[in-house]
Amino acid sequence: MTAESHKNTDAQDLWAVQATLSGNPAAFEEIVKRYTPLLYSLAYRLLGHGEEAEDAVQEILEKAFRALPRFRISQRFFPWLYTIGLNHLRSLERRRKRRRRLKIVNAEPERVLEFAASEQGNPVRRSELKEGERLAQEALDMLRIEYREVFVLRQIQGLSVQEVAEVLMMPEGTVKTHLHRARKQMIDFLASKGWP
Amino acid sequence: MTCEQWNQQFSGWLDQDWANRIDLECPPAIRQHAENCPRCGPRLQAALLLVEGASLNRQPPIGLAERIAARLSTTIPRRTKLRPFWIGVPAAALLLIALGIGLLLPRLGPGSNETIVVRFELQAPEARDVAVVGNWNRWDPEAQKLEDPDGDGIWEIEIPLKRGEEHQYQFLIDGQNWIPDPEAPLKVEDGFGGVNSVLQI
Repeated sequence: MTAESHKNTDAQDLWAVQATLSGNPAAFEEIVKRYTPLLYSLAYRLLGHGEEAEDAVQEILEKAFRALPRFRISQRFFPWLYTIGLNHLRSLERRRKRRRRLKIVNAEPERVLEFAASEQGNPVRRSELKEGERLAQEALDMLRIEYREVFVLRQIQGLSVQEVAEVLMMPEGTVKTHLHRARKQMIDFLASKGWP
Repeated sequence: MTCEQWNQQFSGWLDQDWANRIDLECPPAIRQHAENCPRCGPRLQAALLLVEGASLNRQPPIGLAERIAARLSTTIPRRTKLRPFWIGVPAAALLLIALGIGLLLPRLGPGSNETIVVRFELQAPEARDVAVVGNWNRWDPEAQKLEDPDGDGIWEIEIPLKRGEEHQYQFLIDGQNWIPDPEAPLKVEDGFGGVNSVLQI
């Protein structure tokens, strides 16, 4: 499911939330199945690591489950879930020292193993480890976390500027500024990237 | 074309306005050089991926959602009921505590054996609108509004709450400022950077 198609699931989300709160925890499985792909992609691009993304997704959904009684029915579920997710990913970022996993060094096998581990069970994509994607991730990694979040949400996951502002709790003007700066920094990065 | 020349053209092409989706059909010279250059090719690939964006969405491993759902069903613990310090405190002491502004005042009143009528008060003379928002009213900011009938700046409401349950809540002032009960002794993090007041009766 893409961020665009989620817009059609608001009613389904509310149904699942209400069913869960009414004593049917199995209804939350619908939320899990619907949002795991989006949360995984979000976590992967912000953390830059597949295995950590898997753990993060479980932790995010567990937090959302626990916080469900606090969900306000006047809200949309999607931005609410994303706020929980981003808060959690930020705490992960703060707790560990960030490694530049896609740094162009001679540690090729390690990088391949990291990607391979994240692709376990997905043989079609296992072979699609492109240099370009690695470099794109490196460009993302070098961004400030604030810019990276905006870029991933807007450019990669396709949220509208308004939705990004709602999730990140910042003015729309700031979203646009951050996006512009993210793009500029990535352009400079790609243009100046030195290769042996 | 040398790599340096390519780099200049490449930067110029990327400097276009992304908001209007730069022309992915980049100049043939840029593409032709990149297709034959191991140094410049990956950079063009990376740029195309970043500009297009959606293709960078990463698919999760097969079965991840099912595994998460299965783990959630077995690992969510039962909630531990929190007992505020005043449970067991003599009634007179409770009354003295309750005289503090903003403190809820539990008292027996009209209600079934399953509920206790709780009086919530908040001193907010500058407020135009005050609501108490909690887990019993599904965190609906429109559900229960306090009133200041005599205009003294003390907003109040009485609400029947179920016995034996943990009630978490905050006050919402003017529809935008969330605050915990300033005098409630027990608080927990709300997961959104704030705190909820906790009441168990």
